[in-house]
Amino acid sequence: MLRRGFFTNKKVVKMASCAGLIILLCLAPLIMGSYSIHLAILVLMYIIITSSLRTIYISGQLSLGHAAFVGIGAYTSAILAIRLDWTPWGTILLGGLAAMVAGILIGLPFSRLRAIYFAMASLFLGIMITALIAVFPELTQSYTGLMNIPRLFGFPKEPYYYFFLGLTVLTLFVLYRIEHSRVGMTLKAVAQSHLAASSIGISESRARILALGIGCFFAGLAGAGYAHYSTLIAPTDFALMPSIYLLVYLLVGGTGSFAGPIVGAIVLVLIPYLMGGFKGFAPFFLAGALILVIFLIPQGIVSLPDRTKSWIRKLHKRRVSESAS
Amino acid sequence: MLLETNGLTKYFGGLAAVSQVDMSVDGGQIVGLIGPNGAGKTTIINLISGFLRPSRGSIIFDGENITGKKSHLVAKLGIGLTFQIVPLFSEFTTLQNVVASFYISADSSLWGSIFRTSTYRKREEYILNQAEEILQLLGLDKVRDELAKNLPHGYQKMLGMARALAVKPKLLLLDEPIAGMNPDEINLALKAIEQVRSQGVTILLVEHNMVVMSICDRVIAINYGRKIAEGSPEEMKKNEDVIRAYFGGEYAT
Amino acid sequence: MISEVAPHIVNVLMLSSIYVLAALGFALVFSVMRIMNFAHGAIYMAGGYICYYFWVVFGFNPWASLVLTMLVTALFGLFIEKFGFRPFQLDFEKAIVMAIALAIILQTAANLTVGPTVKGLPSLLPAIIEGGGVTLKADRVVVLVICILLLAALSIFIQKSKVGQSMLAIAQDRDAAALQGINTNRISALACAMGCGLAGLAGGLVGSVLVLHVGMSNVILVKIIAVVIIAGIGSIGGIWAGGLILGALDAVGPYVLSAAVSDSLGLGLIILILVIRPQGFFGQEV
Repeated sequence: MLRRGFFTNKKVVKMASCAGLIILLCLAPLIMGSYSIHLAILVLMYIIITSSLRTIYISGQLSLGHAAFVGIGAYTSAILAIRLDWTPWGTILLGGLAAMVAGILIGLPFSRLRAIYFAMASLFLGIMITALIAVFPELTQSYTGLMNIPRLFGFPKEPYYYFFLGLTVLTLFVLYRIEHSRVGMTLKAVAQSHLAASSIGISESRARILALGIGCFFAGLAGAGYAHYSTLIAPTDFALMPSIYLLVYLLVGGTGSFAGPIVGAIVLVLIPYLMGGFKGFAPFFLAGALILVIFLIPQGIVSLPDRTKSWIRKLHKRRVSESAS
Repeated sequence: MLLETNGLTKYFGGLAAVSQVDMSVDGGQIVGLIGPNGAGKTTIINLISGFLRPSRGSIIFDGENITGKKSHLVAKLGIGLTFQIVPLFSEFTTLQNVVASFYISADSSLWGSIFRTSTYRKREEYILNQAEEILQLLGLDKVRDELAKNLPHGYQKMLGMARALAVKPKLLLLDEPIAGMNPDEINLALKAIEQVRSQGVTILLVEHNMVVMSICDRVIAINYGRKIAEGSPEEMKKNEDVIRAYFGGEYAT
Repeated sequence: MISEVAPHIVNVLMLSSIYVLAALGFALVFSVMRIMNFAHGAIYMAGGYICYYFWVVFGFNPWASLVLTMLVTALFGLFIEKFGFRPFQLDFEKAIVMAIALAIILQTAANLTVGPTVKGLPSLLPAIIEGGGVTLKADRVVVLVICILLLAALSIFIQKSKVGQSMLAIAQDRDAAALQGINTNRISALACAMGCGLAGLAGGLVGSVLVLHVGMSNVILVKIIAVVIIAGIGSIGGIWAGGLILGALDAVGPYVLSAAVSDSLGLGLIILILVIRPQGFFGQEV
């Protein structure tokens, strides 16, 4: 294994830098204050959710109600833990599974819809799920929010950080593997041409339902984890605007690459908190970033390194040809 | 008989696009379906491949009744298909297009994909090799890493054929495979089609360009949705009904 | 019996007509420019607050305030058409995202300036009509009448006027319309201005019969899209049906069932329509 090319082999470099990054992240809480850890937890959570939205996106479906599935995971886990006194470790998994089942059930009728209709249907679905929360106030405490959800650990934040870090690593690993495998290829194929996909044996609705199931599972998992961290959830956390914001994170980060949602989540979730007293102005920044992206950087922030590289190359070429003439 | 249709009929509203077509294709043959534009040839192809449901009649493939079966199931049974306007995976490269088309034989599971089990890896490697072979067979290996949307038209049509071959079909349906090609590309395409047949694939192709008859074993002529004649290419060239059908229409010499 | 039902019927009609007015502008922009103006709800809300400033803070005549509001939002419509939508004529996804960005900007501006306080505009006609044993609030009837008049005026404008016909032409096939010599950019700008103007007017009217609050933009946006879905994408005539159905559901539903159940059922109905008949009942196939 220790041949000459070992340390320059792309794959090895990739894996080594990932491992290094994870080690750094594990050590980080030692220097972070409690508030920073809380921010980190939020960022990790949004990385999971936005990445899961992208998995649905690559199958050609634009979901405008994704936050609702986060909510399904959160409420399922919270209610089971409160009512049946089950351990959060179990209910979190059940929350993820509940969201996954919901995604699959919704996929059954929705996966035959064309793109715009699917987008609209998902918009209304997200709002309807939030409205349904208020229909069962005995279970969910309706709009006042569900409180006193059992904690996953004690009061210090560090264990929650490691929990979300582990969850994020797991999610990103699974989603990365899926996307770069035959399953991912199948999803992307359906997005590009359902006609071509049919002619080689791919059932479009099956593929889209699979994407929905996977995406909703991780969204629900993140939501359930969050419920047992913050101990308080309310329907407004999972309504229309949160869903739109998730889409914004994805678009600004860049839909074309796996790192897109990660970058988008990190940048756009952190900015409001770094604005301190001007927190109320944060959405202006978000909208501004969105406008900037659609006018100037359509493939999202994540494409900036490549674009600057090719821009520099073009400049260089022009200079060379100018000096030659 | 690999493929047989009986009384195949398709109505669109009150209009019969295809009417009472009985035809058969034997294994190992190249059979041509010819006729002027609008004769119903593409409709017949779409009926066989499952993209349209017949109003009446039956389709038997390899002993199994496939009338009305959905397109992805028909593909799984061993019928490959190309389209007039080639639907490609435009953001995939040429090679990726073909690799993706091995979906049926890949038979991969979610678990295998995530954990890259040895079964998964072996199968994907095998598929990669087969994909490269197909590209070579059709002369596409030089453009293997080009994005499909950047390929010139003739190459795109060949890619459509390459994708259909990945299905490992027993029967290959080609819908106007040489339409829009220049004479050089046509020669390459015809040679490739014969190569494919020599690999054991039966071919049913649709064309209104009579040039293609040179490689067919048998030809079936369609007009106004009905079969008007069938026979060897020489017989068809002399057949009065066929000549009349093309009278005033377009045919290449 | 009638005296109990009549106010409900008027409420249904009034609510329906407000939905219709708000949705008309949205449908106009969508049909002519094929863009889903997600900022429409925010402009509606902004219209309500602008009207408040003209009417209550500056003390203008109520009717003048409404007209001024319409002008302001119409001008804003021209602005967003030129800078926000025209660059993305061919790329509808980007245009929609642009609209979302605008909505966020307007919503945040409202949150920061007005905040969570709920404001109300004074009544247009603080009188009560009694007749035939029925008691109605005059201002609600006035709003209803205004809406019906505007609906009729808009229909006539589209059917009879040259500009209106141009809009129909662009709605059916933009390129063909351009080839016929129609200045698509100008007509689109006009449609957008009209659409936003209608949104502003609707906001002002709602402010006077109900309340103004920063949450109204999202609420009305959902209703508007629902109305357009029922009517059918591309249909302007069918909006009345969508408005009526939704108005009836929202006015009567909370009385018969709980508010939450009524909401959920209404939303479920829309989803059902999208699944079974996505092109709506009056519209063209997209």
